[in-house]
Amino acid sequence: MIAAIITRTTGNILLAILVAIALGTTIGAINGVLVAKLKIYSFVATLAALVIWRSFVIVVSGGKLIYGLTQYAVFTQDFGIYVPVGFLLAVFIILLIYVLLVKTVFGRYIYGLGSNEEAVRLAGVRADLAKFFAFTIAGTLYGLGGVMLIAMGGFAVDPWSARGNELNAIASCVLGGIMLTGGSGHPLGSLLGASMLTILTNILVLLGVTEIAVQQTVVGIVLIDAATALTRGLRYVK
Amino acid sequence: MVSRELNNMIVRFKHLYSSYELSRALIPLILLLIASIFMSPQYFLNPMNIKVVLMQITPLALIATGEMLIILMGSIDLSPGST
Repeated sequence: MIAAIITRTTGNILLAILVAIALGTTIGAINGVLVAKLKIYSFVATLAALVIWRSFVIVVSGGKLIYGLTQYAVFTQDFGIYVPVGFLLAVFIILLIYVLLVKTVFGRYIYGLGSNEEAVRLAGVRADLAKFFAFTIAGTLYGLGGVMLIAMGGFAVDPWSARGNELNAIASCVLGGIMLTGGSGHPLGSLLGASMLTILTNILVLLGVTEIAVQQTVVGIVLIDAATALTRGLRYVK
Repeated sequence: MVSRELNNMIVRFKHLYSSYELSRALIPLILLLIASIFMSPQYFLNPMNIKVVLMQITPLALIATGEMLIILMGSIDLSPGST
């Protein structure tokens, strides 16, 4: 969103993308400080962030639609056969995250924090620092996601764009086989879950089901199925 | 005898399904792809449609990856929608 404003005013797409990513990183870092240092529950801290930054966007944009951002067509050009450049970029970044989670100590700390935080802390790991960095990296990815949203969404943004995307993201994580209690799940699961969610909506549209209510109901039923399959064999869920 | 072999196969499939964390997402995705291709082959395999699907996946996949980092720690993040 901010990227759109800067592109409109300065006409420089590179600067706009950099500022968008930096802003995402800053927001992630603030979230990280709130959760790790001030010990606010992450749900509450990020709920506050959701409201604050949405209103910030509305104030900055004046509540108006921004359109005509054709410079972002770089990301939708074909690479090879029918594969947009932006998609390849996203897959590359997700592979980087995969390496980070599987091959480095930091990634192991994140899995450890999910499965037994008390044990990780007793082992002398600086858990607060790991939490802070995880939130920061997540913020960077949100910034990139916003840039891609402009490119893929018809080169226009309104202040309410990507509303409800946080719930879509959680839904794709559940579909991708990542337990909400933490500590279990494959790092590529989010990509596969997002593909599943998108293909499901796409095939419903192709079959002629265009009512949004029916689509959302079907997605919800599939989500319940996935969650049931995910927790099969466990004795209880928190 | 046949039922025993079938049983054996189901057990092996269950083992494959639960032993690799990636297969928890990969097997449903492949099933969904096959089902979609059978349901409307002329539209779903259309090059334009493939490109549109890939384009729609891109932002959601990036945001979901960020969310995944938080969820793996056992926390939850509600801020991506507005950032």
